[in-house]
Amino acid sequence: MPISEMEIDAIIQGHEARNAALRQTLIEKGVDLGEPRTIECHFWSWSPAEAASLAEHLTKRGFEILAQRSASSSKDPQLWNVEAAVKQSAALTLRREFTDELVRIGAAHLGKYDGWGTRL
Amino acid sequence: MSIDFKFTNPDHPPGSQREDHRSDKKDAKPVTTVNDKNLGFDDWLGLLRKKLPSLGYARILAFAASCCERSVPNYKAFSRETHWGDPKVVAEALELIWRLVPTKNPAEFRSYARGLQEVLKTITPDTEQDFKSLLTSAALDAANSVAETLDYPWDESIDHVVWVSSFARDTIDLFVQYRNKSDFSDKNVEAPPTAQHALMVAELHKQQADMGTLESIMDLTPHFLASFRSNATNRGKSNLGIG
Repeated sequence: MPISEMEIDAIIQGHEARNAALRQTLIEKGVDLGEPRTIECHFWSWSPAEAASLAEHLTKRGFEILAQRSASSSKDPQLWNVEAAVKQSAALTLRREFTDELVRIGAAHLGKYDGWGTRL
Repeated sequence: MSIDFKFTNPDHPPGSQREDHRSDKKDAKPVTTVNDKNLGFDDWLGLLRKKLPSLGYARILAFAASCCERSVPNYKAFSRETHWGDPKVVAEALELIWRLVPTKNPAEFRSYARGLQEVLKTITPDTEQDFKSLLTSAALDAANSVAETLDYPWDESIDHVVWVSSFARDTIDLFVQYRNKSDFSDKNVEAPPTAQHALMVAELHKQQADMGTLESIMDLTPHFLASFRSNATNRGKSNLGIG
């Protein structure tokens, strides 16, 4: 079932809070926030078909799909894992506009944007 | 990072790197001399459109990047004055443009460029809004210059670059008009045409000089690009002398 604007907003707020903490960590580690780097974004999906359509959407958006497979979760056997990489700065990744876009892409495919990471 | 990118897009499939990245410009012939002191900006835009194609991808992008370098300080000054916008995003986009000049595989930055363009839209001032700053149009032109330049690598249309050149003209034209209004409003003296203003003449000559440099240089080495970039501005000042 599609999620509401209010739910989307709440999800974005959650990412914003985590991003604020992550920004601080990156700064403390001396990471150049403006330097392009490989950013890995993680999504949850609840069916192989939705995972496939999400992966297709992300590919069209310029992401490279790193993983698209069942999460093998005993608690939630329907859970699928989609991981996608993009080369861009941490600064852009931390922005609300980027988070907003990924949350909406996830939601459009009945999935969920879970967050991002990068290797330091 | 060990991840091997296999990003593709319809315009630049894997393995089809742009040949003009690697080509030197030994065969590039100037369309006509650019040292004509009487050339007006409109004439220059026409000439620029004819000359740009012979430069090839990297030089065309370097030309536009140089124009952007002179407009971005206007955005920073506007943002400082109005406490609006985000100069860091504009600066990051400008960094990406310079990075795209020598890159052999611009496609891997396409998504990044698109993301920055989306953010740029949200931080580009709308002149219909009630900004009091004299630099509002200049900031709009700066953000648009960077966004247009970021469009160039994907379709290689010189229209983007001609726009960037013309934004510089518009920036100076409006700024000088505003200045003239206050400087000449209570005098019975007609303001000199903006085309003859020192800022306009300086920008026109700088664009012509950049074109001459790019036509004559054999290789866009990192050393050359660093020097070309540092010479894009007069000690970091914008095309309005701000910085």
